[in-house]
Amino acid sequence: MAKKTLVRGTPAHRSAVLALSLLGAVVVVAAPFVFSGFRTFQFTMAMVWAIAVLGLNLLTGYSGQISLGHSAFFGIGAYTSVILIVDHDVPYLLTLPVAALVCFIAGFLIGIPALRLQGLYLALMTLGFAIAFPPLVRRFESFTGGVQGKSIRSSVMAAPDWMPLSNDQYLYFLVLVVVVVLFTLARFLVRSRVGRALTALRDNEIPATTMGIYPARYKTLVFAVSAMYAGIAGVLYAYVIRFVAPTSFLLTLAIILLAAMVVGGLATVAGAIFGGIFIQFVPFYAEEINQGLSEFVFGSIIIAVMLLMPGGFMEGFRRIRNLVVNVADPPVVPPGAAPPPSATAADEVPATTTAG
Amino acid sequence: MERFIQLVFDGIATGSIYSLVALAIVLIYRSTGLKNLAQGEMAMFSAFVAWQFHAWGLGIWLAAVLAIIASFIGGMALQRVIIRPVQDKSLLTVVIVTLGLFLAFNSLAGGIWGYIIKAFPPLFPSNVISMGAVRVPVANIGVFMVLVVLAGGLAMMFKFTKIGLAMRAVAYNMETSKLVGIRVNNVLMLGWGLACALGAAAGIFVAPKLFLDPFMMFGVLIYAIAAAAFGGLDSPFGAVLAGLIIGVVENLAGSYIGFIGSDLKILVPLFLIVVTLLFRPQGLLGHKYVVRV
Repeated sequence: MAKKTLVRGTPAHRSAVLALSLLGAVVVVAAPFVFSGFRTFQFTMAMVWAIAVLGLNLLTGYSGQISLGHSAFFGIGAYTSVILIVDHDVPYLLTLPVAALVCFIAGFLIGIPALRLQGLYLALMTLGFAIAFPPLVRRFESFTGGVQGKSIRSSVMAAPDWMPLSNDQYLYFLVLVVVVVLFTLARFLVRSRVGRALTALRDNEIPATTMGIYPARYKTLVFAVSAMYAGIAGVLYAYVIRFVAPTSFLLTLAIILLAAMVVGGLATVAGAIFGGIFIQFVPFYAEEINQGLSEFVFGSIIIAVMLLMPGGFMEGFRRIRNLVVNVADPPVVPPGAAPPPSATAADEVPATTTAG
Repeated sequence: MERFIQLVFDGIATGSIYSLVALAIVLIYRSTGLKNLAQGEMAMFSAFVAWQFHAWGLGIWLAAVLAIIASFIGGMALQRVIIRPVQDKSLLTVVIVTLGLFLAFNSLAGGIWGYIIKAFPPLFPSNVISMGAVRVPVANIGVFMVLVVLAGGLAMMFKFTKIGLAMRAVAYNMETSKLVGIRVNNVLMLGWGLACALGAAAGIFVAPKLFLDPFMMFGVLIYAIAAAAFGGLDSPFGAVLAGLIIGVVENLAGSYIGFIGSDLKILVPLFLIVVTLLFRPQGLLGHKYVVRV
C-alpha cells in the first residue's frame, strides 16, 4: 500500500489537522456528559496536572533548565487561592490571576540564582526549594492553617444556578477553558521569537549569546512563566480538591511532574496532555495491581518508558501516525530563489515513499 | 560553653551520617559522572536487607557485611540493566531514571517491610563517654571512625590505584578513555557497585540512630546532596568536611536561633547550597573545569 505524504502547511495537511482537532474537541466536550461524575473528576484532575506539566516543559523542554521545585510553585498557587477565598472572602475566580501573579514573581526570584547554575546544580537548588516548602507552610501556621491544612466549603465552588451542569461538569469546563487558553499561549510562546531564543540558549548558549540573545532576560522570564503555569494549576487543584495541606505538595509531586513531562514528550506542547493523563491514571491503576506497591509500579513504568521510548508518548504517537501517513516539512526555499512550481500548484505532493 | 561543646559533638555525629551518604554520591559522580538521586533510597533499602538478615538470626555485624556485599552486586546489576542503556542519553533522561528508581525503591521497601518504624539493632556498644558535662555516645565515635576509614580509603583508591585512575578518566571523558583501552562499561559498573556498597554502609550505620522506615533517608538525602554540592562534587574529603560542617551548623542554628527551631533546620543546608552555588559553584574543595566551546 502506498503511503501518502502530507507536507506541513499545505491545505491537505491543514484540513487533516483541522478535522482531527474538531473530532478531539467534540470528544472533549462530550466526555463529562457520557462518563460518570467520578470519571469527570479524574479528567478534570488530568487537565490540572497537564497545565503544571506544560509549565515545567516550557522550562525544561524548551530552555533546558531542570526544576525539581515545581511542587512548591504548585503549592504556592493553591495556598494563595485558598487563603484568599477562605480568609478574605475573595470570589474564587479572582484568586486565579492573583495567584498567577504571585507565582510569576516567585518564579522570577528563584530564577535569578538559577541564571548561574546549570543542569544538576539547578536541579539541586530547586530540589531544596521543594523540600523546604512543606516545613515553611507548617511553620507559619496562623497564616496557612499548619498541618491541619485549610479547606474550602463545597458551596463556594458549586456551579452557578443558571448553568444546567452538575458541580463536577462545571469544574471540568472551567478547567477546560483555562487549559485551552494556557496551551494556546504556550504554543504561541514557543513559536515566537522568545521560544526560538530559548531553544537556541538550550542547544548552545555561547553562540546564542553572540547572536545577541541575552541569556539572563530569557531564562528568568521562562522560569517565571513556568512557575506561573504551575501556580495556576495549583489554583485549579484547590478549586477541584477544595483542600490544601503541607503534605499535598511534597517533593514527590515535583518528581512526578518531571517524570510525567518526560513521559509525555520533552519539548512538545501536546505531550503535556499525555503527562497529565499519566499522573492521574497510572497511579490509580497501579494501585489496582498492588495497593502497597503502586509507586513501585509507577517508578518502573517511568524507567521502562525511558528505556524503550525516550521521546515519550509523543514519540509513540508519531510512530503510530507514521504507520498511516508521512508528514514532512515543506522544502526549504533559499531566499531569492523562485518557488518550486509544485509548491503552489499541488496541495498534495505525490507519494514518494512506499510502506516497507 | 558546655552546651556549645555538646552541640558541636552532636553535630559532628549527625554530620558523619550526612558525610557517609554524600561520599556515596561523590563516588558515583567521580566514577561515572552522574548524580544518583536515588542514593538515599538505595541505602535505606540496603539497611532493610541487613535488618532482614539479622531477623533471620545472623549476628548484626555479619548481617551488615552480607547486606553490603549484596548491595555491591545489586548496584552493579542495576547499572548493567537500567543505567547502561540510558547513559549516553541526555542528562535529563538519566535524572528521570534515577528518580524512577527513587520512587521504586521507596515503595518496594514499604511494600515488603511495611511502613511501621522498626528499631535497628545497634552496631556499637551503647555506653556513653563523659568528659565533664559533655557526653559522647560510643556509637557516635564509631560512626565517625567508619567515616574516616571509608573516606580515607576512597581518596586513596582514587589517587593511588589503577582502577581509581580509570574511574576518574571515565568520568572526565568516556570517549578518550575507551581509546586508551579502559573497559569503560566495567569501570562504570564497578563504580555503581562500590557506591551502592558505600551507601549500604551509610544506611546501616544510620539506621540505629534514625530508626528504620522507608522515609528514613528523605531528610538525610537533602543534607547529603547539600554536603556533596558544598564540599565539591568530585572531592571525597570536601564531602566529608562539608557534611560535618552542615551537621554542626544545623545543630547550633537550631538551638541558638529561635526562629529556626527544630522544624526549619532543613533550611540550613539549603541556604548553604545556594550560597555555595552562587559564590563557588565547584564547591569548597572541588575542581573547576574549563569547558571548551
